[in-house]
Amino acid sequence: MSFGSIISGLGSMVGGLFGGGIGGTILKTAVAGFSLYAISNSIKKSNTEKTAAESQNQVPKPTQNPIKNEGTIKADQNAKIPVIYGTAFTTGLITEAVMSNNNTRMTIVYTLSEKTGVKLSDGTASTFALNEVFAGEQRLVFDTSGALAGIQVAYSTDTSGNQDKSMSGVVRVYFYNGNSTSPQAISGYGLGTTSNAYDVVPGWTSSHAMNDLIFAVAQFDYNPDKGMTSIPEMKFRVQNTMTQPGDVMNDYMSNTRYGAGIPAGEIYSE
Amino acid sequence: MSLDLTPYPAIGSALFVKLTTFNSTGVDEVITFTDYHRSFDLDGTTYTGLGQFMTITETASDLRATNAELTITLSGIVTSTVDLAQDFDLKGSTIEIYRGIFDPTTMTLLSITGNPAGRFIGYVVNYAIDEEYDIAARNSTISVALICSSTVGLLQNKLSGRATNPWEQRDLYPGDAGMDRVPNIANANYNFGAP
Repeated sequence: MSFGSIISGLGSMVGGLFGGGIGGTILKTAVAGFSLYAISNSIKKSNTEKTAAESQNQVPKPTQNPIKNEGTIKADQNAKIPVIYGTAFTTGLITEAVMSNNNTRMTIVYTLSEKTGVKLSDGTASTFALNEVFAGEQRLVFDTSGALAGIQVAYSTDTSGNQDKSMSGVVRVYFYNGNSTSPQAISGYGLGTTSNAYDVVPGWTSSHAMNDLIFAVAQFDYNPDKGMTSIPEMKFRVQNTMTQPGDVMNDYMSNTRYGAGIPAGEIYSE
Repeated sequence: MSLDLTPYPAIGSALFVKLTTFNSTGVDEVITFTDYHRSFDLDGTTYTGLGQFMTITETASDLRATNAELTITLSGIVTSTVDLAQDFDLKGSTIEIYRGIFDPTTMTLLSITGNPAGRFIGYVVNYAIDEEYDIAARNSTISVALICSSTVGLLQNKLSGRATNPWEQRDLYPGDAGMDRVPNIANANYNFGAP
């Protein structure tokens, strides 16, 4: 017996109870409709219970784990290393990325700038400083004591000054001024320990000199309890003591690595 | 540097060319010549007088440095000596041209500040050798044209800067492996926290 014949049979039975006429017809329609609704709901409930029972007895289908993070390393072989004069914000160029500790630690090298030369104005070498570090929209504040002072994040703050401790103890930033053996503290901090870059980046040796480069090494530890499940976009505020226009122009005109390479004898200065 | 020529109702001029090139053994060779009618000593250097055998294309005299090109043509070269031109690495040679101001009566260099004045500084970017055959005399002469581009023009086409790849890094600093893995990690996928 088909489902349709059951319904029509029900209708005939209901019709028999209410008799003829418009009122009877309306009532018949309402009762039949309600009956159909009730039967339909009963079927749905039965199906749902059956699915739950199935799921208890069978191996559940794998679902996407929302706390994992997949991404792509944005490194480019053709990207030119910038030259920073004065102060600038930069996201840097990713030149190394190493996943270690069973995919729970990501170490990324951000190349920030070329190292500039001697200032024409006073004959002193230009120097760089890392003033601030941002992860996403959050400014990082580092520990001020301990072995990782000036390196490990204590907390982060937003523009309103609200503190967030999700990156506390799981993000570390190392800054290098000129090569892998020239670690330097972030402005306003002292270094608890000084580490060469090749002692921080897994797989690096002393041959990874990074000559004449200003760069930062950031380490991220996976920690779902703290919400550290993805690699944030980093931004660095870098400062170069070479700020005078004459110094900048002379450096850019004369430098053979990143500048015009004009011989000093062809540049008139006084 | 400007020349004060107001006291002189008439002047003569000549161009002095200093070509620094390399011979077949890589040794610097300095060749000096002038379109003056005879050889002339300038700052201790003798410039060979070529007279009308040397011509320089006209260029505009601008108040500031420009990227103008010019061509120096040396004509009347005997064919038996043209191979000497090929012995020298002319392309890439530096060239300096000075203009000397003379007293037209005595043909001596005027003793005024800034004389001779710098006219052009650049590099030889190309050269051409043309042969002119004289049918009647049944001989030929060679003309060598040096196409020169100014330093400003070369700077406009110059590319500099270090890219983040191991080739450029090691070209500048042999043995520096800092950029060695950039080709491997470019657009590589990662799964942070995957077991």
